[in-house]
Amino acid sequence: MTLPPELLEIIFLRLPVRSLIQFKCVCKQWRSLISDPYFAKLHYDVAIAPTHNNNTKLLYLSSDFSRACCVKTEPSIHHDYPFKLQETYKNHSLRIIGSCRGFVLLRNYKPKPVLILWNPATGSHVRVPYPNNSSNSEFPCPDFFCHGVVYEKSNDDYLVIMGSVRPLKRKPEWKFFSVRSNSWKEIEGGDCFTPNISMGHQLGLLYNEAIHWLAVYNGSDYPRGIVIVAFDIATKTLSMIPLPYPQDPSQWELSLVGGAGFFGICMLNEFWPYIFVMKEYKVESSWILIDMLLPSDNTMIPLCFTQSGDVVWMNRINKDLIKFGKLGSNEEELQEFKLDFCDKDTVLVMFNESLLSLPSSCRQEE
Amino acid sequence: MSGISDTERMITLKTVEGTLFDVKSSIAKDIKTVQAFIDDSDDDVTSPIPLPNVFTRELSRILDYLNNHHRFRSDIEKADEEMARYDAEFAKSMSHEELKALILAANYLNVKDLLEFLNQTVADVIQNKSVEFVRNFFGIENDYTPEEEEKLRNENEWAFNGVEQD
Repeated sequence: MTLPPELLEIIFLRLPVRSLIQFKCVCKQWRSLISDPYFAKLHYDVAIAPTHNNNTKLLYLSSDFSRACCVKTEPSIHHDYPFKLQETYKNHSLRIIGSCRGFVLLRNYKPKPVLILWNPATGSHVRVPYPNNSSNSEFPCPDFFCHGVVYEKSNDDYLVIMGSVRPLKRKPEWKFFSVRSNSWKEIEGGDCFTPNISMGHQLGLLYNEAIHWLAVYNGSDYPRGIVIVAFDIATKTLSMIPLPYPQDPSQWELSLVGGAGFFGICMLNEFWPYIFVMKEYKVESSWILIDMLLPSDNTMIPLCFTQSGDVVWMNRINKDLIKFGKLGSNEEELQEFKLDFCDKDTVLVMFNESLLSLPSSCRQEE
Repeated sequence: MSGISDTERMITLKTVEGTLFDVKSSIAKDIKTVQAFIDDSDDDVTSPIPLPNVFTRELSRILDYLNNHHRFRSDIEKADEEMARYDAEFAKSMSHEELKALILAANYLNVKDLLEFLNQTVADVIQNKSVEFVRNFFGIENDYTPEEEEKLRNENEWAFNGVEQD
């Protein structure tokens, strides 16, 4: 007795990506059901729906670039099955600089700088060239960048965003690349936001149909200083969100922290960190200091919130992960977790695996 | 609640084998295909409603499930816990063939909650199983050549780690 395709599809929607990739081998009909782009979208939407028991996951590249390792954050932090990287990546110098809908944005330095948008589950990927005017010879120190990747639903397109400031030029530049049109465009008003050099490389934080970084604001309508810069996906414009703490933030080390529906910022002084979350998006008065267990030193930076409202922290020196919960929560959660195959440059991003492929009109490489 | 059910209207369902089941109209409401039949009839339905695709074994299971769920829902306090225990037993009591037959019947009769539960049950059973187990489970013939299958497995090597032994 076999089940009709419409019932199979409903069952498939309840299976994880890994099982579905395996089950492409069951028979040709299953492969075409599972590889269907429409099914991939439906599966992703079901998997990230709030009713689904979804786990905040983190992804990083092993130090030899042979695999992309996955870490689940609940119930306790644990490794999930790693993805395999292509053989050819082994000679590269890759760094994760963004993540969106099961794709990770990678930057390769050698032999020449290029961006790669890659779905580790399906292997689907596309190369994104840097804009023409950032040619090799004048390629700036790579750490002065804000990078990110977002999905534009209305056009079924992926946008790669880059904010940069070059050493000899005062004015910052903000651009986005549309995967569908295969071209870069300038973002207007970008010269008000200078990527913050002292923060090194920054991952963007996706929240509320926008992606966010920290930058120095040079506009005339607000005092010069560090703010959150938001790239709105629908309007493709930049806007500013003031920080929660009114005092001079140059004394603090700052990082954005999100996941599980939170939009927050960690402010680290020389002793310990504080986390503020914005309860109502873009409402400055809704920043609140959250009341939870925090690391008691300044070696830890927060990576993400989990579904149950805990925060996963990373020790910047040895890259161990540790989860801190609400006040009075179980001591067991404070166990330190060792990452396999990591080194001092390891970067972790929040990651939702998917079966998605890139828009069919773009030059996709299998 | 129980006072109403004594005087509740009954509906008779007839399976492929000709077995008749008397069903309370409140239960029939959850069987959307039956409810649609009733709604489409001009007069009160008095004669048995024929179900040409549903066998006695499946209908009896479906009614058992619905009756129990109605009972649990009337007792809010223990509902969730008892329902979960009942559901687990219900899923365990069936062979793979019976499970598939029940999915087809629940799909034909359009019993939404049950169908959802059964689909989840199947997903839980096959989630970490091998390709061979899944072919066996669904009675699927492998239509790949050995070379094609080998190639597909190599391309997706990462996904085959940690598969349970059947």
